[in-house]
Amino acid sequence: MEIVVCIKQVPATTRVQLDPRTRTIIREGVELMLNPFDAYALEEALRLREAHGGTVTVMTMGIPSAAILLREALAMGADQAILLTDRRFAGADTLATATTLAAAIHKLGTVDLILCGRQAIDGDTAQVGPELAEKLGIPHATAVTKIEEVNTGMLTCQKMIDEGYARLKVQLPALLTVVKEINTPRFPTLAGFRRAQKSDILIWKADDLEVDLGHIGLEGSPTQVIATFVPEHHKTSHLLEGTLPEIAQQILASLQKQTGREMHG
Amino acid sequence: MAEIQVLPEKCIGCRKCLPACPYGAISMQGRIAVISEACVFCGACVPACRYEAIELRLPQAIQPNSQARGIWVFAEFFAGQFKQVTFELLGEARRLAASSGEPVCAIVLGERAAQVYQQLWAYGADAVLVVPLAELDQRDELLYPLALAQLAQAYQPSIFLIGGTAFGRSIAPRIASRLETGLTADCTRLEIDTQSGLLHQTRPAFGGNLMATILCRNRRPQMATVRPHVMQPLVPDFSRRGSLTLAEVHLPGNHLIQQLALSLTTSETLSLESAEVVIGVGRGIGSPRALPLFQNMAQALNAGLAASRAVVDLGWLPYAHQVGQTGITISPKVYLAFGISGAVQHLAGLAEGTYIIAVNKDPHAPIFQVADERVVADCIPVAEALLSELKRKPKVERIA
Repeated sequence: MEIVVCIKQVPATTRVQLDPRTRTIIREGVELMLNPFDAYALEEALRLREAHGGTVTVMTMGIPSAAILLREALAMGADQAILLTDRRFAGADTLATATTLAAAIHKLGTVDLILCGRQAIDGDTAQVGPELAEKLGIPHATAVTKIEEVNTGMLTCQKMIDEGYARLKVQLPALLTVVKEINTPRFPTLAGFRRAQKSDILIWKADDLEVDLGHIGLEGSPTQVIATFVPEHHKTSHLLEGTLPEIAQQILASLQKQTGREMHG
Repeated sequence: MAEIQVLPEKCIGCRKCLPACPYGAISMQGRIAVISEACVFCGACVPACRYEAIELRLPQAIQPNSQARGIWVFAEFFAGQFKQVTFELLGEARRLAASSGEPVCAIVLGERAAQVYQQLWAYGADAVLVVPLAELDQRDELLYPLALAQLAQAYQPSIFLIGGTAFGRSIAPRIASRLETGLTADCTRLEIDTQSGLLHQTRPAFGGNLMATILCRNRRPQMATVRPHVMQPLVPDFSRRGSLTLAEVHLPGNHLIQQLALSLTTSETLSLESAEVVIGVGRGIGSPRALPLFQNMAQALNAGLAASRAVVDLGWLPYAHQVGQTGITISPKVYLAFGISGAVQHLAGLAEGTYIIAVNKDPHAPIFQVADERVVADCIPVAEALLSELKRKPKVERIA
């Protein structure tokens, strides 16, 4: 089974803090890390390879230093790593990113399954996965919690929906985006790190891909951010006081006021 | 391609551009600002420089399709009814239509949904476009995008809004990708600029720490998803009439995705993403033994039950309950937080504008900085009092 895992380097947003004076994000010393959802995608790919054979290729589009992520993925057990890096990829929105990733996957040849994290925690759009599936002309499923069965040419999986869970049979090749519930990622081993140091990371630039330059990077991005601002976060909360039943009554009154419906037991 | 540069003769090394960059891409080399490869050409630094030392050259724009007209709303239908977010989006579309003068059109797929389309007029649609195929009675992540993209190509709307349900968030990117157009996820504000006629789409980024306003200048439709409860529906007017158009789409004969089974949640774990009231529990509830109390409360209030990451990691509740950066995002009208400290990662999962009532015994808990009402007390007795108050009320009414 040929599996591709798309991963992304994101700021470790636990550190995101606002400068109270200038009201901008303090970025100094912000570490970059593997997008948490992508670790589950990689782990699932490794488990599928262990069960069914094949290879796991990890791929990321980013600045040259994103290679560190790929090393980590190799240390966890990925077979091959590809870094898509080029100034011409910069400024890409989700559509241009999906176009670039699709061109890279085409270059790889036969692929049975593409796994992505459900969303990246910096943009939170959850768009690149389905956009990529469309570009490749293959089916997709989002928020997958379990891959149950893999047979020739198809798999069954369970995914989260608003109303609960759905079980699906999906024809391969397909793209799945996964969530935390699916597994617990392994840690890279020391031997893995040693092996990863010796492995090559393939570096692909725009010229290495069959892609129209007008469809990648900033130029290929239909959306543009025209303004950013810091939302008003700090509210002055109203303190509820009194005996426990009095507090409970105040909470119920607020619930009724905010929702416009009667609260009954 | 786009290019950006700092003009060394104009840069005085004032460092004003450094904090303006949301990507941390600017640093100082000596007394000159230098822009690294982390730059995505967003242009935030350009107005921050008082000396016009940063030059940004953007690629030439393609002209938008001037024929595109109409504000579309996808009417998601499940288990015999339209999702509430459909009505909210129709209300928002009406508001946008008031400034653009364009018609509001609801898109209905499936034979069953086609039987109740009149509701969409009542909630603000001028026109309803229906594809009454039984094949589309079940939501399908492949067939729906295909059908909706074909309709958009045939009728060329200017704006296409899709509810940010799990299904909407799955199909919207596929449609945008097929149409080669822009899509903005989870918008919290939509406005039509009176001068340019463009849709200004505002959404949170960086875990809600920053709001970004996004445009799709040159491609149509301008697509956006909006979470449930973010927009206001109109008061339905069931005497209101609009137009009805039956449309055709071409679907493939073979189905690449097949739904085998659905397991729907019971009321105690009511759909979190569409719940009007959500009760959140954090490690502050003390032990999993306290959970039945909150499950009962959720049932009594017809509310969803959410958890912090800590509660899920401890195994007290399954992952489907986790709200926050690595869980799901919810947009209830009211969030009732018990024993939740309010880490940034958890708050990132709460839509802007949610009314927060927080109970925590730590008066310095960060949740109180974002709460509308606060109770500084141990959360168990407060929860017990609330539950007994809820149970008491109807009895009183029955006696009366």
